[in-house]
Amino acid sequence: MLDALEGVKKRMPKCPFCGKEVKYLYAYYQELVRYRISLDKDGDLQWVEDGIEGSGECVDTDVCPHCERRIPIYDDTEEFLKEKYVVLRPDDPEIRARKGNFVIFRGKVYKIDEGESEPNLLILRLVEDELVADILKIDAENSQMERCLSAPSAGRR
Amino acid sequence: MPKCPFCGKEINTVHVYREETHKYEYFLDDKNSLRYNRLKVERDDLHAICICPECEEELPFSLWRVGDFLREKLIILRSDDPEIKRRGDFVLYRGKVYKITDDYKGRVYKFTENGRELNLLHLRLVEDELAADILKADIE
Repeated sequence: MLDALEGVKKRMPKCPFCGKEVKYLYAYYQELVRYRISLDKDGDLQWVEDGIEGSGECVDTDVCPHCERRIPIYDDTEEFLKEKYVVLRPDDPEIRARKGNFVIFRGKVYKIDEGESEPNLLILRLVEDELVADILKIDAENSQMERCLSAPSAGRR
Repeated sequence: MPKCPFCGKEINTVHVYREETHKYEYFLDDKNSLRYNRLKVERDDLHAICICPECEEELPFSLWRVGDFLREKLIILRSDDPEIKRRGDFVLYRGKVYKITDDYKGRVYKFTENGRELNLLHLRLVEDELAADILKADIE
């Protein structure tokens, strides 16, 4: 039921630092801009931008619009905004289950990318093969349920 | 129309190169494609460079003087410009009297062109009509 609701509600990627959903990311570039300055018919200065020289120098990129911290996105920004690439804290409450290198987050299966190491963060890549994702999802959810059933209840402790 | 002190061509536009820090916002559009907007800029006016659109030489004034240059309140000419007649700190140029500017009185800017020195004068229009007429008669 919850999974169905999650499917209906459009979710956004979230910042691993402040936990807020991000609809967009900021990037800062230092660039050399060319202008043409002339006088208009009233004798006032008229500035016309005439392009940017070169590619500029990146000052900061993939910055969260809420907390202004840089999100460690090793893949491209587009993949992050499409939630194909996710960066989370390991204790994120939306992680439903974790088994080995796989994680269920918001009803989708992700593989932990061990090639990209970031202290105290999980770098996840979406498992896009639907069949594989379904198998892994069922497996991970069953493991989670087994753990819940075998765990001692609060009353017994 | 002002003219470039280097190539001598009349120009009604100055090109400016300015370093700016841009803030971009990356987002997905309705078709799920990555788009961006430029949001905010921080400008470095101090180190902006003014360029002649004809010869692309760097013009010897700061960004704040572009308006004065285009309005011909600030005139920069070679000291050997054929259109000027000079007497002391005053110059007759295209029928108007100019003073070699107070800040740079008696001073010339030296540039090199093809390995030889090039002297430039910074001039300011004498707006007092009576004074201008007296000076004009004197120079002519």
